[in-house]
Amino acid sequence: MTLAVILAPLLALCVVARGIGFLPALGVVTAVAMLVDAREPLQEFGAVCVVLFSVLPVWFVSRYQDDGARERTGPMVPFLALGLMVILQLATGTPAAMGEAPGHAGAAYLPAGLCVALAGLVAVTCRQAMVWQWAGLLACVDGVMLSGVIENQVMVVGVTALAGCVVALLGGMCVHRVMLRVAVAPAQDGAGAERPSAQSAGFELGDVEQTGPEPRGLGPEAVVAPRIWTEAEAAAEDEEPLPRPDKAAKKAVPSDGEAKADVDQPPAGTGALQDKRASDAETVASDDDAETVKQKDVPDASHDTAKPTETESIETGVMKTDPSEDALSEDKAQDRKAGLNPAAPDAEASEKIPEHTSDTATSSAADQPEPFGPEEKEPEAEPVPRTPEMIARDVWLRGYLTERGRDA
Amino acid sequence: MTVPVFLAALAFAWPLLGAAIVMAAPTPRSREIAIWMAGAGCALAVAVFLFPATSAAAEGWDDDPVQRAGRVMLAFGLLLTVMENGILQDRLLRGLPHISTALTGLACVAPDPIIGLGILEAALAYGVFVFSRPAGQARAGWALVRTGSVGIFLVLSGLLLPSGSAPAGLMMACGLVMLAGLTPFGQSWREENDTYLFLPFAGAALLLSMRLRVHGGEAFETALVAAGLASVWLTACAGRSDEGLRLFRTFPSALALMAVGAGADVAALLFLCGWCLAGGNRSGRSWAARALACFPPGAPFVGCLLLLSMLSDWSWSVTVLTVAGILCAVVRSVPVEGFTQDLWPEDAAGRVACSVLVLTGFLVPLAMMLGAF
Repeated sequence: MTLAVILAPLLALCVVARGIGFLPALGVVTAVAMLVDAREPLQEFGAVCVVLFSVLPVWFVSRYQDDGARERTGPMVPFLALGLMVILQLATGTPAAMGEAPGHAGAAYLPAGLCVALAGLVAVTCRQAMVWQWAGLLACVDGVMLSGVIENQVMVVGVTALAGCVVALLGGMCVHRVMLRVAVAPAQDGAGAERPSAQSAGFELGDVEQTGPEPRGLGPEAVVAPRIWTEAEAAAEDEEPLPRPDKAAKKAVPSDGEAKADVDQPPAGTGALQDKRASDAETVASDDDAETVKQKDVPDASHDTAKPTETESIETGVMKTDPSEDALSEDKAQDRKAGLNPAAPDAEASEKIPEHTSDTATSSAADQPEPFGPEEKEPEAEPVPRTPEMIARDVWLRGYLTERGRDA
Repeated sequence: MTVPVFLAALAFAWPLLGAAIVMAAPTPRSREIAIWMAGAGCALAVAVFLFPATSAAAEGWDDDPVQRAGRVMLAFGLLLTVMENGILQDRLLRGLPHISTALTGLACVAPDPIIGLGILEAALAYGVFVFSRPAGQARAGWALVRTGSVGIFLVLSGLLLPSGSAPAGLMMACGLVMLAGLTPFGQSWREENDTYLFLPFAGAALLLSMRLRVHGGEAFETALVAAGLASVWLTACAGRSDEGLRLFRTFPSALALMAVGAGADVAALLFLCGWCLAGGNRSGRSWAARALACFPPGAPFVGCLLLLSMLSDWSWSVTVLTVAGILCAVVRSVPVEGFTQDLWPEDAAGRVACSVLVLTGFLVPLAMMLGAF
């Protein structure tokens, strides 16, 4: 038994008492506890998994604001975890209890991994904040992994790694959808003015009413207002000359004009929007009606296959990459192959940093349905047409027309 | 490769194939195709039950007849789910019942129950991903992930403890109760489409609990019986309120967990049949309510008789409490309106369900007498 094995339950108690901040320390200590005894591949795999599942979620959460959910659970919760640990120790750790079990005969031992898992379970059950529950589940992953590595159970370690992946990914998706991004530096100039758009973009309007009391007294209008302002900014920036004149010269002129009109009137109905695009596309390529139909269908299909998180990422991408639109359209050509597989960008979208995510998600949402053709069309999963979708279509349209102009 | 092995492999791959075809099919024809694929899956499951692959047991894959019959019930549950649905527009949602049934069937047959737990977690993750895509569903999806993962971690912790010890049995029983969605301990599945994921998921948890009994020991069995009894009595006490109807949905799984704890695997199989064909959100229909309330004829009624006969060997006091609890639940919780009408349901799905329930109720005791179980 090493010091790390003893420290791990204490750090798990800290996670129960104080929150997700102690999770990286718990992960590192758990990894050390695994690696101290032996350096077999099983131990190394377990240690790497534990460190990843403990550090990455905390780093991810640090990019979001504290949701400030008021915990109604009292200060007794850590003591509940401690009591359960003591009961578990009494039931399994004593020589009398373990006398008949092979491998532990006659020696008292601390079921450290299971103590960590118990503490995590208490955090999941008793805490109400989503991030705290996430931390509790990840502590469970650490504890079960440690116990599996100590007991040399390969199957348990593998299944725990899978469960850890599931918990980390789905928890990250949930965090991305229900929490606000961290405010970065205040806007100072034209380049900095686009930063707040990225912060508000991670928020979903549908969740404002669903998630109960809004933290920090932030009402829905406080979220809506910067978004509208951002759209106005984006529209204003569209009127500026594009940074690279050689690309801008190749670009089809009507596409830019129509796109501006779309951005200027975001609340327009979807049908009107599509009609406008149809006429727009005909001005550019009036000889290809099938392409126009496909073009109208594509955004619908892309949003059906895309997750809402991706929708938000699209919004982020639009707002952040509007001024440097040419870079986006260049990226599209590179990402077109990656966009053929709808599942791969989905999986990546929740993992990557927002800048990269937005580019990948935007280009994949724009490009992926093309190989599937018009039969991919489905009705919208979300009945109410929303502004991010319109902006995403707008970006797609611009990229599409740029591509066509380049081909011509 | 012999024919039975090929059949067994095909039976597991079939729902995945069905999911792929249903998702790729044009929307107006998808329901028809889904019914055909699910029906063929039922035929395959019955064929696997009748012609077991004898070499599979030697290689560690499970070959218990109760498990095979349980997979037949899961396949019929899929057929019924597909028949009840209209034409679904969302492709992922359309394929979800097929995929979850395939994954849970694979979880039941995996050589190690731990692998089965991993496959269950994967099924849960996919289902939650599909469910929580619409806006505003993020927290509901997180609640599902949280409860399911807690159950799986509890069972894994129990499996890491020494076999037969009391903490191991208690932890595994708690985890399985959560996985089986036993109200009020388990999931809060209240959505309309919960049957897509929840019916096969809870069924697989029931089938897995039979295999985990070896590791759990006496504490495991006692804890399962206690949890089932508590759920039965809570159903009886809740009455006909909304809460009571929600409890009444999981009435057969409570009895099935009691049967697993008492060692009556065939009774658990019959309750599982009731759960897959009449449980979940079908409990509002009159024929389903009659089946759930263990009215004759039907599989749950026969299962109830078998359970009581096994429980009387186990403990007299628990038997009396169970009988009283079931009677109270039937008197107080069964929906009254239309209970005696609609003896032969109007819709095709209801007719299939009633036929299968009655046939299972007759055939399973017959097979047990012939020594099949």
